[in-house]
Amino acid sequence: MKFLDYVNDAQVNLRRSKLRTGLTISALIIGTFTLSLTTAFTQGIRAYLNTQLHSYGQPNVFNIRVGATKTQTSTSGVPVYQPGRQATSGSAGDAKGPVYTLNAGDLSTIKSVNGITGAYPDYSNLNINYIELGSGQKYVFSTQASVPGESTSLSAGAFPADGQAGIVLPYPYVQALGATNPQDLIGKTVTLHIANPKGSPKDFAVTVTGILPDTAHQPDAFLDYKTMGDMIAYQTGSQGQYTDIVALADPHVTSTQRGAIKSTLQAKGYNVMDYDDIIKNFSKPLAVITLGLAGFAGIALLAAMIGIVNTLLMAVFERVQEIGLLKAMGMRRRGIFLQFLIEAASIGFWGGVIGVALGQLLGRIANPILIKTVFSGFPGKQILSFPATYMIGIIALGTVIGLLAGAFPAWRASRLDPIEALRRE
Amino acid sequence: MASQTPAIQAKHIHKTYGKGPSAYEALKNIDLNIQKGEAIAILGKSGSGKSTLMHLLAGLDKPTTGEIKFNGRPLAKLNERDMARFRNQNVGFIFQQFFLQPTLTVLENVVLPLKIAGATQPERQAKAKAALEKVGLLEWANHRATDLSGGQKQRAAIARALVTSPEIIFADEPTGNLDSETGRQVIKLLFDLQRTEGITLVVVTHDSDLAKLCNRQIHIADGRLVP
Repeated sequence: MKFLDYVNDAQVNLRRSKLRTGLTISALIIGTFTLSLTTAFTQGIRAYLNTQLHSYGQPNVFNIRVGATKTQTSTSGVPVYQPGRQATSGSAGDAKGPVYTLNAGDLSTIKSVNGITGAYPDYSNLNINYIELGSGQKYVFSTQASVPGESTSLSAGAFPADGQAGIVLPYPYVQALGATNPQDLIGKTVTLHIANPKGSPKDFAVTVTGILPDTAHQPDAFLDYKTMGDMIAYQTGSQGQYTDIVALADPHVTSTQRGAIKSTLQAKGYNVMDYDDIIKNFSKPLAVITLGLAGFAGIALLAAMIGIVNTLLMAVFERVQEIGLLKAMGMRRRGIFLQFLIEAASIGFWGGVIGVALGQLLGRIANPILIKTVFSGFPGKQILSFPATYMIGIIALGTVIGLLAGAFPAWRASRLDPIEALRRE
Repeated sequence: MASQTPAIQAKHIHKTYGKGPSAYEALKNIDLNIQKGEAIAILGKSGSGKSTLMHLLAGLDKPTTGEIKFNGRPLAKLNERDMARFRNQNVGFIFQQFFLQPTLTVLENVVLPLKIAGATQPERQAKAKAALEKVGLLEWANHRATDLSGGQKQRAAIARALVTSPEIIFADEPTGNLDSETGRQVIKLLFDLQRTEGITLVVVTHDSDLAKLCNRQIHIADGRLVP
């Protein structure tokens, strides 16, 4: 028999008992449908996280703090005072208790590391009273330092260039400050008002150079690091003390190169947090969720597989006479085996196709709703995304499950004695 | 004729089912030659071993001891593939219960042996239609097998047995499920075809009228040939 005959016969035979075939396939659909949604969900969340994570860090950025080896802890466990360093609360990040600040010396040490193209001070303890445009409404405000090399795509404008004073505002401030389009604010000067416990409050005028994208998570503004340093110096009176140093590598830095830079910095006694660490922090729970959902799908598929075995065994039993006839007419054992195997594979294939199709359908219905509600601010059009390779993979998995399930019944059928088979009335 | 190699030579055939004390000897020392183009009837009561003998001669089963040669070639030497090919190419079967596939059309039923052989579509269509024409069922080609009457079903089965142009056709009680008039018509068709196509015909039956139409009758009782 030709291969196409087997495939064609399998479809014809499956249609012989539509209800039974339908029920068997629907068991499989539950599994493949779950699996396609799991994949779609994971893919979507990953894409969503990536857009969100870009406001935290880029692949070529390293966040550096003073590490444990530079701390020179005394026997009491309390770090010894070092001239030129202060301590900040280490509650942020992995360190607890006092953590040394960094200074210009650290800056030049880090700049000398091979692969680092620039290093800039970063601050976290600037308290701004309010932001104001002209003499409009005053709003609360928080900012972090902007260093050259930021690559988040903005809804308007650009990050301030190295040495240029400027600020990038979060998206909601567009409306708050009375503008309709993000573009309208670019080039406008805003006033940042800070207090000084010993002196008079002071206004810092900064030009708006950019507006952040409209994301669900609202990040801080980005103020160029020099202006930020000046403001902190005015507010605290301490100069040249940084909570972090942000070091930059080439924008096209590879993961291996990142690793090398990281270990050099660590060898010099710094704690380094890079893009990989950030991604890892977010990916871990996602991987656990994915694995859990895939596990459920796997259980469903296993149950469906038993269903296929059962269906095929029944089909073999019903068609004993037919098998006997085919053998008498010269069908080989291998041919009988293939016939039932392909029938089982077809159940798997259709289960995969229908499951994936249903997943897609649900995706089409759910995507607009999800983006309007839970995932508002997502730049793409679909949270549930169905990459073709994954979907083909799921259909292939269904087919393989069918093949595995069909092997035993098909083997039984191939072993039937034609005489016994024909004798049965 | 006598100088020719017989179509089938069976020598000292024994067939035993089971083992030990419960063993049952279905066939005892059968010697039989069937000449090419001959029509032979194997007669016997049910349980006499006549169906078992037919199964052995047709290569559906293997004798416990003894040798069966087809055109001088021992069947025992054929492997699974060659045995399947032998049944597909050299042998046709007609059964009492017809064994037509109810879900298929008449034409599709007749095509089955060609499909198993892996014939091309045009070859399948041409040969199956020719076979249906020979049995007078061409106009029924696209009907379901279930639409046919008993006699028509057996004629379709004959077409299916003929379609690969086998050298030998085995018919197991071909009239067993038919009324006597229909049975006569089917038998007439079968013997006409046997003569025009030069086919060797082995009929297993307990119908003596049918047996009389054959060139030769052999009787079997309790697993032995009765002279």
